[in-house]
Order: sequence, then structure tokens, then C-alpha cells
Amino acid sequence: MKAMRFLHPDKLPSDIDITSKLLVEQLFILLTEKYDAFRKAHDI
Amino acid sequence: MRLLRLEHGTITYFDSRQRLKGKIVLYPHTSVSRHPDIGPYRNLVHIFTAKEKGLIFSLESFDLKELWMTALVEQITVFKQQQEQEIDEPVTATTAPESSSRSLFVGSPKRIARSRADGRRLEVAETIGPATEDPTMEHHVVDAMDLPRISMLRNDVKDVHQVYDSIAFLESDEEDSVMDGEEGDSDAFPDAPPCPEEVDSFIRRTIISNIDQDCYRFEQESSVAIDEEPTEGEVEASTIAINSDAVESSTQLPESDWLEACTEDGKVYFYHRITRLTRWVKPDSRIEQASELRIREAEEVLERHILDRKLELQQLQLKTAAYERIREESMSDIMLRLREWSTRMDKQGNVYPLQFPELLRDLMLILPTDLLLVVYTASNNVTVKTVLHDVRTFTISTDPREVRYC
Repeated sequence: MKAMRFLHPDKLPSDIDITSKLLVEQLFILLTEKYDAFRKAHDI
Repeated sequence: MRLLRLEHGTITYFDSRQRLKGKIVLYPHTSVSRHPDIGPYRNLVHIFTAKEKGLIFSLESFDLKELWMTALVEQITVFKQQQEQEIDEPVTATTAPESSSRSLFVGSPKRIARSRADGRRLEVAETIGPATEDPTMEHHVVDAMDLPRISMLRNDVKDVHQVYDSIAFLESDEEDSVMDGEEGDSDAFPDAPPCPEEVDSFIRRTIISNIDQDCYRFEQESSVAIDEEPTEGEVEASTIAINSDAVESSTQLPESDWLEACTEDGKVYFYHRITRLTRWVKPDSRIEQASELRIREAEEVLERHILDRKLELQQLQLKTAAYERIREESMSDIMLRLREWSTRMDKQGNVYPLQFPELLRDLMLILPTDLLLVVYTASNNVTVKTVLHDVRTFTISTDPREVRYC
């Protein structure tokens, strides 16, 4: 979960390049979806 | 004995020459006890004359002070008449009043009324307690009864210390000797208040003199301003000055922001071209210039602020455009990388997506290298050391049972 908070778009550094920011944003969306699916599968 | 409230009061005597000859001082019962001569007695009246140190009378009721004062004045009038009849006989100040006609009465209103009803003259005032044994409490005839004029300053509140000073002054032999003379000095009571009539006349004279002075000064100034006709040179100079002002005003008029306009009724008014303020009279040039300066400064500040905001907006628009352009160009590539990162292919060539723990395990494979400082693995755990604002270290567990505690 620390990685999720670490990848949150609002927590990214301001000097990050646009490509990396887009990648992290999409990565955060993907991880959020996977985490919701994982919680449902394991009844967490 | 009934003790009632008593205010300070003073009765002053004047002779035919308007000289102060005596006083009657009323003491409040709260302050009399402090006086060494009067001692513990209260509700006493101390009467000063020019030739005596004073007379002390007791008062049983002082709530009707006006009645007592009236009776006192009547007695003084009676004494005056008697003095006129017995003008050949010298009056001694220290003789005791053997007859009731030469005495003062200070008593209750009932006794005064009863005495008047009986047609008797008021009796000598009574003293109370040890006062009868005191030699200073002897009944005396007030020496100032022959004075023609009596000025009563009723309700004149005097300072107790000032009264005591006057008592000490009267008790001194030197002052007594001065006052014993027939032509006593009017300064025998230096602290005596002036007669109200004298005060009124003095104030009236002062006011009239001040008014006269003001009127005289005004007449002088107005005569100088009106009567003096200007010479030809002064006329020319004033004409030149007026013309120069007109030229200046005409030259400044186009530069002014106050423009002239007319109402529907034909009245001329002025309005400011920027602030839209309207006035019937054009403002003074100095005030106008100051206001114009402030307005222009405010306008410059506002224009500078608007320009800065426009620059910021342009930069933001450029940044947004670049972001959108890069996004369109790299989004497909990013999505392809994410799909490759989040899926795996088995031996049969089937593609299956990775689960959340597996994605966390392979997170270091997709993260940008500038966000990762150290990445290493240890058995079942993956420790990712990153650097963003500061160095952070966190552990990602791939065990589903420990995901909730990560």
C-alpha cells in the first residue's frame, strides 16, 4: 500500500517529466483496479 | 438632638461703601467636629463679623434652611433699624444680648412660627451641651447688623479648609485690630467671593468690551478691504494675474480628465472620463493632479497585474498544449508497455494477466528509473528504495496474507 501511495499522481514530484508522469498515472489506475479485484477475490 | 444634613453656605455683609464686613458660614455637621474651636458639636452656625471672632449657634433643624435664612435676614433688618434709632449709642461687639430684641434666633420652624404668631421677637439662639460652658459660645450681638447691604450667597459651597483658614484669619489679633477700625479694609476677607451683582456687571462689561474690540477690529479690516480703491498698477497686475490664470486653466483643460458636459436643463457639470464621477464644480487643479496621479498609478499597477496574468495564462496554455501533444504521442506507447508489464504468456502461448501481488513484485520493472534509487529482491519480499522528495524505503510483500499489512 505504500507503493500505491507512492504512485499517487498528487504525490509525484513536480519536476518529473511528462512521459514518466503519464506512465505513473496509468500505472496507478491499473494497480488500483488490480487491488480492487484482489480484495474481492480474497474477501478483504 | 436631631442631626440633619447641612450644606455649606456663606452670607457676606457689605457696608455702604461696598466693603466686606462680615460673614456667616454654615458648616456641615460632618466637618464641624474637626474644627478645634467648635469641637464635637454639630449642626452649628458660625457667624463672623468684622469685630468679633464669631458666634456659634445651634440648629435643631436645618432641613428648612431657607426658612432659617429668612428669619436671619429679618433679624438683621430689625437690628439695622434699631441701630438707626440708637445711632448715638456706640455699639460694643462683645456685649451679651440682655434683651431678646438684640439676638438671633436659630431653631426649629415650629418655634419660628410660634414666635411669629405670638408677635414676639425671635429669641437668642440656643447652644447645646458643653457649648454653654464654653466662653466662646456666649451670645453676642452681631456687629454687622447696621450694614445697609446684605448679600446672601446661598448654596455657595465652599471648601472646608478655606473656611477654616478664614476662621484662623479672624482669630488673629492683628486682623482683629485691623477690622476693629471704622474704615476697615475691604481686603479683610481676601478669599471672599465677589457679589453676584458685581460679578454679573464685571462679566457684562468684559463681554461688551470684547464685542466692541471685535467690532472695531472688523471695521478696521473691512474698511481697509473695502474703502481702499486699487490703483491703476494694481488693476493691471490683477488683470495680468487673472489672464495668466485663465491661460493656465485653458492650457490645463485639455490635459484634464474632467470633461465638461451639460444636463438636460442646460446646467454645466463635469465628469471624469475614467472614474465617471460627476461634479458641478471642476475640482481644484492641485487636487485634480493628485487624484490623477493616484488613478494613473493604480491603472499602471492594474495593467501590470493583467499583463502578468496574461503571461501566466499563455505559459499554462503552452504547457497544456505540450502535455496534450506528448500525451497523444506517448499514450499508445505507455499503454503498450503497461499491457506487456501486467500480462504474461504461458508455455502454450496463452496470455494471462498478473495479479496484484505479482504486479507489486514487478513494480520496479515498469517504474521510471529516475524514481528508483535501489531495487533489490530478497526471497519472497521485494524492497524498493526510491527517491522523490527524500529517500524512502518500503517493502512490498508478494504474500497475499501480508498484503493488508504492507
